[in-house]
Amino acid sequence: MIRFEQLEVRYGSRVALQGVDLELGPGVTGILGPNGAGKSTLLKTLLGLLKPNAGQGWVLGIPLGSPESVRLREQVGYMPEYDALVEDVSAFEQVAFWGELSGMAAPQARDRAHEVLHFVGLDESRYRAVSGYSTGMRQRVKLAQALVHSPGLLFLDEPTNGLDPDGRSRMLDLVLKVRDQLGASVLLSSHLLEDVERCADHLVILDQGCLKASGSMNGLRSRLARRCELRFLDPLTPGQEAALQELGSLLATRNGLYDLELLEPDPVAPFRWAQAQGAVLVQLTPRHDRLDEVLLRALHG
Amino acid sequence: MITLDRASLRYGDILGLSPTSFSLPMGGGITGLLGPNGAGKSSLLQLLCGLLPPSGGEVRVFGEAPYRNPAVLVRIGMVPEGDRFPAGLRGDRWLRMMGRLSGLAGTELESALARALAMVGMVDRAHLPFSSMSKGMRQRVRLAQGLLHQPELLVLDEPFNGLDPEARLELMETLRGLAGQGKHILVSSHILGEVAQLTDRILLLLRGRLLAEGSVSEIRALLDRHPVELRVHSGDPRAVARWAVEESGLAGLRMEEGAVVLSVRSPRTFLPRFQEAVSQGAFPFTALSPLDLDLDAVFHYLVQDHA
Amino acid sequence: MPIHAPTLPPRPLQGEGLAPALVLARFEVRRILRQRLGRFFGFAFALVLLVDLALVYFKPMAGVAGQLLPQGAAFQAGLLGKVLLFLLWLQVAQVGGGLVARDTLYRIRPLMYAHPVRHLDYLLGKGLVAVGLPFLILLPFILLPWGVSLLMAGAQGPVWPTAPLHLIPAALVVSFLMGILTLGASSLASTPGGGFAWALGGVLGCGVLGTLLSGLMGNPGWYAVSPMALAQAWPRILCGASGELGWIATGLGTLVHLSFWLGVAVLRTRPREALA
Repeated sequence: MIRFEQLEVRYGSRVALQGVDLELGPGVTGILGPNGAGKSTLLKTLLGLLKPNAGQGWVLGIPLGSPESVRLREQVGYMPEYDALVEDVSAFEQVAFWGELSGMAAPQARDRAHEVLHFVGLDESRYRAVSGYSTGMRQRVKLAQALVHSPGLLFLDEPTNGLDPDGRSRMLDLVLKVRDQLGASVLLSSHLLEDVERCADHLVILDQGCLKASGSMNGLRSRLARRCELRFLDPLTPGQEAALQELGSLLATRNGLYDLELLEPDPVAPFRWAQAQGAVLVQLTPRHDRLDEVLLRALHG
Repeated sequence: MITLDRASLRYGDILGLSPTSFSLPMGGGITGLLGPNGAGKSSLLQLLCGLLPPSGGEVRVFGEAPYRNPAVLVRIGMVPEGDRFPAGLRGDRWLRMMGRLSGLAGTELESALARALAMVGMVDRAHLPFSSMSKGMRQRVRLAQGLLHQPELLVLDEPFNGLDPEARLELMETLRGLAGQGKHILVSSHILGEVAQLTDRILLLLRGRLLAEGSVSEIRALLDRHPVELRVHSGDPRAVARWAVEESGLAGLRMEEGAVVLSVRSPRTFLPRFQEAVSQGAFPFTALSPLDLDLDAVFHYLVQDHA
Repeated sequence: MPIHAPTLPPRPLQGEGLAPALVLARFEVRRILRQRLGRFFGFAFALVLLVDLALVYFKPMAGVAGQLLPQGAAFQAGLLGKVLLFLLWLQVAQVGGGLVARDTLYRIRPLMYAHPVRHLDYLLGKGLVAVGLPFLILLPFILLPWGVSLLMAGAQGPVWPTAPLHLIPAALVVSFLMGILTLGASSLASTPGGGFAWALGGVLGCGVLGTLLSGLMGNPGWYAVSPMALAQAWPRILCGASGELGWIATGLGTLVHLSFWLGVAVLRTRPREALA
């Protein structure tokens, strides 16, 4: 759906994206990187608002920088980070408005606005002015706005901003539902790694305009041989903790979670050890890279 | 160290915090203050930091009421929510200004400044104006401000808001370091994962009430209406299932690809038997992961049961 | 008997929608119609219109004796008179001042440009409302007295049978002047209130400047600095009534104002600055 070949974008003399090679298919792609890494430049490029200064790119089959790229915006949905809502207008009316702006005829846009608002879970309230909405409802209006024209590519910028745990969880469920039902390619940028971890199939890491890493989530989070995480029913006594070294070398502990490199790759060994020590295991999982480790490795080599 | 006795806070007719009682013991470490927006987190912090008197009841920090009480306030460092600074000002000048406000001067101020900046890793960058600092750097300067007068209790209101993942991780590292040096730290957040990464000890607020307090595993153990779900990965999940149905205390069972999920009423009695079976090789085993013992699940159950 | 689970149905056929500029304009008009302040202006304008019609009715009466009152050019120009234009300036500043500023306040513009809306579409859509609104308000002030006069007295009525040919172009120029000026003012502000203030400030400030300059230089041509004076001059000039401002000064002043405020609006709504 997206293909970049050595793409470069400059603002005057400042390089905003540099030598980016990227190929993204359907599914959710998480975009990570510090502020100013080039996320908003990437977005503007995808929308055809910036022309590549060097290299080539295709989005949904449309070459970037070609006159056709205005049409690109009919097929991309964008959910901005900030509240881009017309406060004195109802959710229904503004979603229909955005649909029409994307080139839909008025009656279709109105039908579709009802549909997407139901989809994101705004029922009766959709006729009320947006100014009285809660943060969660506002985020859902913004999502509906991005979906109304059935885009082939969806860019979600911090969709969980300001939401409480329940609201976040519902928003992320919606993102997955969008992926499954709409078949759209979803780009998700979030400051919260958990959000990306939960939704993303692919990962793109940007820093200072360069692509630091990209690939499938599982590919990047390589499984670490012989590493495993252990948790016990009751906190270990200092004596038990010391005895952990019979099992392997202890690399880190955090809130009762022991990160261990086993002497031998045998998942039963920790159980035998616990039996002998009088401790009870509640968790024994092979250790994958955490997303924060993937990120730090990509940013700092 | 912190005691609330039916302390409440109202802003006119608006509820900030319902009458709440709890006490936090002395000693270093990080306590997470959790709750959705509007749950009363900021109200509680304002009471603790003596910014407002309680509308009813009593608040005691270090044994005394903090409101307008310098003796208590010098022992508390507060880092309020937000990211507002005089844009053109330099970080160190602003810190000096704040230091003078807390009564520091001369060499004492300079050494306090150097110490606080070292703690947050900003020694070489504090001379920058706020306008050219990243959000993470500004957050560190704010933290340094809270540390200037060497408080014993550090209170941070939503310190991770708006930080990018890297800055977030760095700040967490800094906080863990401070806790290691014996400071007591109270961090509020509405993002569970942040708190889960930082600490096991939580205060959970919901709708202006204290809903739960303690370590995550203690609170989970109290939620005994909800069976614990254990996912067992195995080369032969059917064998695990066959073993499990013979055991008492199994509340449910669900097959997945390459795994079986066991619902268990009392993990305290079930897990030792499971451990024994694995050790004796009763069935092939590759991994064991509990699905709902973490903070996410605990929060969800608490809200579901009590809201 | 299938179960129809609620899903988001597949992409509808993308029928031919309206041009983005029209969609934008319609959205704005709906919003304006909902505003409560509209009733005040509606009442005020109706009052002015009634007075106009009464004049048309009473004018022949007053001259019953011998049709002494000629169908003067000044009377024709007076149909788009001072009071009406002042009220209209207020109304257009209030409505037009919010057109761009509201988008700035709610950060709508970046999202606009993320849709197939070009810079030109945006300006056209907003301009259509800003210019169309005063024009539509002025139209009845021209057509109703004209119609009444024709019905009552035919070609002998106080309003010339050819009056619309003079007055409609005047109304058009005035509307452009008002619309483009408020559009520029609105794009300078970041709240609708600010847009209103900028627009009024622009109009009144230039007015004061015009008075000062013409006094200092001793040349009434300097009144052309004032948009209010320009708006009043156009109906007079096009009807052939004498006034302080001549053809050249009026044309030049209007041109300068239009290009200045249009330039401001263009510069302040560029897509480049959106999506920052």
